[in-house]
Amino acid sequence: MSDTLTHSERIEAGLTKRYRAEKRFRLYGIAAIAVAMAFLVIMLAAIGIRGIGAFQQTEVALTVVFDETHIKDNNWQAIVKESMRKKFPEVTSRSDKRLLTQLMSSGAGFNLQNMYRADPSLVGETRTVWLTASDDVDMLMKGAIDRASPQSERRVSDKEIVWIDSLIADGALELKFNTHFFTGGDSREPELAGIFGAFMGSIFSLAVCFLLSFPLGVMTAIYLEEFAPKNRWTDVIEVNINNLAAVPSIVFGLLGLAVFLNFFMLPRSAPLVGGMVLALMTLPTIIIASRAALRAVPPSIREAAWGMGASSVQTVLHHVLPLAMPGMLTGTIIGMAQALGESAPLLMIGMVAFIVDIPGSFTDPATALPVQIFLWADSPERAFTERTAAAIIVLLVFLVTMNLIAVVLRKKFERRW
Amino acid sequence: MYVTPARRAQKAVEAVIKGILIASSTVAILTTVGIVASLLFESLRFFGEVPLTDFLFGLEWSPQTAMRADQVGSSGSFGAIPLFAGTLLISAIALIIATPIGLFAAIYLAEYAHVSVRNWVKPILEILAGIPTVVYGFFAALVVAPWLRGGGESIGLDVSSESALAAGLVMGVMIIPLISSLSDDVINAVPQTMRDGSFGLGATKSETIRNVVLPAALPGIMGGLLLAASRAIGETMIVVMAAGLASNLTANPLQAVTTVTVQIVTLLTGDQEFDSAKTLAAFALGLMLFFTTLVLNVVALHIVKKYREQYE
Amino acid sequence: MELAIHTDVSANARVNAQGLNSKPHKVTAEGVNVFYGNKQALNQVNLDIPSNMVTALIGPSGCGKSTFLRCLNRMNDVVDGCRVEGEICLDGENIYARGVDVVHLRARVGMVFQKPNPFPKSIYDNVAYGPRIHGLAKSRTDMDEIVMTSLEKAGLLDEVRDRLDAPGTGLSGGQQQRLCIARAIAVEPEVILMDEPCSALDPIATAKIEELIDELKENYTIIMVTHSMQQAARVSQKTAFFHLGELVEQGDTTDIFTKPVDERTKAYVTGRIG
Repeated sequence: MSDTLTHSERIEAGLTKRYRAEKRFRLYGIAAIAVAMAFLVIMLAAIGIRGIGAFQQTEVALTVVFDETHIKDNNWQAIVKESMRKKFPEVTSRSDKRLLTQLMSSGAGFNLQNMYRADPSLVGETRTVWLTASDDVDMLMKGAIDRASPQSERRVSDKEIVWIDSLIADGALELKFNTHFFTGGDSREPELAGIFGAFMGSIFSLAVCFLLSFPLGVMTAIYLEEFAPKNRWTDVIEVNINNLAAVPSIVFGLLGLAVFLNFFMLPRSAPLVGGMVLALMTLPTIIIASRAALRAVPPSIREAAWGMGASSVQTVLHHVLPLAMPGMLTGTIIGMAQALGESAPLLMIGMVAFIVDIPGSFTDPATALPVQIFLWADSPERAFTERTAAAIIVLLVFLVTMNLIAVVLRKKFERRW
Repeated sequence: MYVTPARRAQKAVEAVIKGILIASSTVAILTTVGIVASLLFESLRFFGEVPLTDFLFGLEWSPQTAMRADQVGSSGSFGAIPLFAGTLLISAIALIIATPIGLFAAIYLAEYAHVSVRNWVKPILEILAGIPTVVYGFFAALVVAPWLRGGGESIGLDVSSESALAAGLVMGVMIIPLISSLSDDVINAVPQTMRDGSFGLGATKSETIRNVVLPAALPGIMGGLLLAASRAIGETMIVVMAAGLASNLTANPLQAVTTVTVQIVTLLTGDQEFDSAKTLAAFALGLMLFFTTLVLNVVALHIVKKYREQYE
Repeated sequence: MELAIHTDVSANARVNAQGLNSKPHKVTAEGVNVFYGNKQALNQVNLDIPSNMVTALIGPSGCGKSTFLRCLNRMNDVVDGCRVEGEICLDGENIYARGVDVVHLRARVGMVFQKPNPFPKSIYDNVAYGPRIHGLAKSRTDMDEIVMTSLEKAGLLDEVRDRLDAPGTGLSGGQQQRLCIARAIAVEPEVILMDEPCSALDPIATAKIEELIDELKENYTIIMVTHSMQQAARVSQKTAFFHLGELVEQGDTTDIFTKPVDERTKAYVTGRIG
């Protein structure tokens, strides 16, 4: 028995060390998850903090006279200039006057033009209107330019700060909700840049993508799941689809460039081509999800239909497809969300141009939301960083919404057979 | 039984429907054919101007000189080794970061976590996979790179503002969910009886995982890592935004390197005529990229499939 | 097979002659209740298991015999929502008491499973696994000796001597199960639990395992769940009959099979319920 004792003691002796190792191992797991989550939180927070400011824009209340001659000359900025000088009559030197007008955005005139277009009877009238301030003023207001730093190191001079402060004291300079960000197209001036053009580009591209990839994907899935014989050819298709799903997205862009643009001579920078490339990219996702949805429909449904004398095509169209549709739609929405976030292939087909106009059709030159983010991220102005982050927030909101719809759809139609 | 005209018409319709279904299933094949054909065709034109060996083994990459057709050396330097090296460096950094984190996260979720914890944590990790790469690129270029630079400065290290480390680190985070969800699947596929066998001998949980579960799951995990590597090599936006443009043959992660995907984007965006060696080079790079990732994927999918069959 | 029954009966006679009840019981269970969530799987089980004998737990599927077996080395601990009440003592010590170490317990109470489950390692490493994690071998030669003796005791050594580096999963089903027994023996447990160890094996492999079990009882206390009444009769000295989560009857194997007291036992051993 003494032998058993030493044996038992030996096990006992190792236990503390082993339990310490156990604890450590478990801790590694928790640490790994914590690191991944922390990164997610930090990333979202960093983007949120940087971007939230862009949803507000500094505006200045000016008393403007809709002067007839200026309107005739189409010189709207002159109206802004005059009202600024009226507001600060003490500014006399040429350079100071120029500085003064630079407080306002070069787009302030457009605001006036739009007002006039909506109501031509404004000619000769005097109105107090809120107009967009320049990005430097905006940055100062949002604290991105440090007032305490030496004058030479900041983009807003002491003089300008005095004027700005007097405007603030008058209640004539405020941060207001930035509608233009949601309704405007791209611009070289950060305070005038909006995401609507890119948004429309994305919508057009996604529409093309959906119209192509959904029917194609569903039909391929139906063929492979319901009709295809099990032979070499279908094996090839199957392996091919799985591999296509893992091809780098930029390769699809090269395909689009070589085939759609250079061979079929389709227009460059057009959402039509963008959508086609995205469709080829999302096709595997949709096929794989649709096949899973078809497989989830129990054979008893098919057998019942066949038993009633339905042909195999009727069985699929009338009985199987309706039951598989929610699953297919869920997969499609997830595929569309991927397509919405994709940018690399769009760079290849020229959807990276600087485009001010809001695209109105499938063949108008356009960018897309993620490409706009890429373009803005490259711009040196401080104010563009803020807008890039804000555009990311908008993009993420769309993605979250799409994924939530997919989750809800899945939950609602989830059926256990 | 006789066949009515209505029945015959229906049969014709069904034949057409089946025809359409078959036609649509060939689109996937045509896509692959299109990719291979276009890449091969343009690459062959490129290799007509630049010898294949120069491309594959050349140490200098400076396609800019190709713009000046009247000059000596107008064909530019198209040695792709620095690009391959840069791609490998960044992908390696990404895998070094993502593998332990993804694997340990998967182990914890599969073996330790309570169901309710698992139901919460898994979808949150999946969010990382759903975030567009351009967002990671922004984060890498505007947040992580300055941090690394600042951090390096404070300890006397010279970190480039477009360091391979920043791009690799952020890319690593991007592929964490890929590794963790694939590993989670293979770990769950290891039969419970194997764990019981180990527990029955008095092994602790971690001993069981390290000595029994992981060796059993290893082939599947390797398959997952290959897929992750393929993903890292083909990733574009993060490196375009956070890695450098200048080719630089170095293994130092603190320096700027450029990658295959970055060069494809730089060569093809902007205005240039399409027939220059410069634009064709992008297709040669694309061909290399496609081929490499294809091999990785095929091998990975094969391993994972074999692994699944083993425990079915 | 007849021979097995023969030895079995003679062994029983020998044990009885020695005065079985004077010996302390290796394992005693008192008032054991087991719940899976809200469902009660075992109800007030009292069972004493003598040393150096084979005790068979029999009963129809779902009667709780496996559940009871898994309580004896606390394998139920890993099952979510499983709760054990009552007292199970190993050498008079409650294994469910506070401060009892599961790892240590399982080193003393080894287990062999229904389906052979060798690890994806070499034959050698399969056997060396237990001693290695418990730190039982002081040197490489020590380990070699443990592995060889264990394989020898499990009657597998002659078949695998020249391929110890081959994977354990490459062996036949019966060999795999003997490898699992060798693996359990290597830790030098006092009790070996066997959960239907032959249910996945063919008759020849089964006969070998049964022979082995008979030899092993010299040194170990063996508790075996079995579905086969013939097997229980062949290899065990004590039998306990479970039915619907209750321990209906226990006693000498010969008594249970020849003159059962309870009607349910009678019905089961004569094949009317099962």
